Amino acid sequence: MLNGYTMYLRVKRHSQTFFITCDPGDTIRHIKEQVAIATKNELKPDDLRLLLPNKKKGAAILKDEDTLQTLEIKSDTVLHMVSKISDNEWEPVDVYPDPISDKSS
Amino acid sequence: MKEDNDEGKYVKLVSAEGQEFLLDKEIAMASSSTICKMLEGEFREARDNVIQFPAIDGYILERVVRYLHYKAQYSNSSARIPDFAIEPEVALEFKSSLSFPERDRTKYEAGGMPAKSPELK
Repeated sequence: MLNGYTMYLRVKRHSQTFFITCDPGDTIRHIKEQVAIATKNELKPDDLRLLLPNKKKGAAILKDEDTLQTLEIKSDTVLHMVSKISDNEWEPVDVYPDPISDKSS
Repeated sequence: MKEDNDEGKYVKLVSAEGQEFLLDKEIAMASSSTICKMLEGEFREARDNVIQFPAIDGYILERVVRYLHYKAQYSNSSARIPDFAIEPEVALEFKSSLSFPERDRTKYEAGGMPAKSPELK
């Protein structure tokens, strides 16, 4: 067990990667709240958007109320994160490249 | 152990080029005696919950953190333990970086090759 949890996700934004422990029944909102805690509330859950990268279909924006189970997100999955710039504007996705997995996938 | 005391719940590991990896402090401490000592002692790291690894590149450190989770997940597990997947081109560097967490006997597998000896030296 992972400190009482069954899985973890890797949430990436800029040069940061958050390893968030969680369970399949957890919501996207819960993941955002954990990220906020990890940043000591520098980032607020309401100002965050999580995306599931998909090379073919493009990234899907994940809804707060969806659970990892319904989204079929497994342990060790990478999610991208963007922060709100203004009322209706979000920063572009900007994550640190991985020289190995970026090449092979 | 889902506790509400969130202060100091996460520890931050910083790579050579400044990439930051945040993970559950308990998992980091349970899986690496080195990290455990750094976070418990009189070190600056213990106060800040930030540990610098100026000799480890980010893509290697990320795999080390994944390995710490793998180790935490399957330590004391009676279930069948899956191999830890590591790409062959990073296996050597990964292996040498593991001398910072404690050595252990958990097996890992390079690029799907059968792991003959699970021992990491």
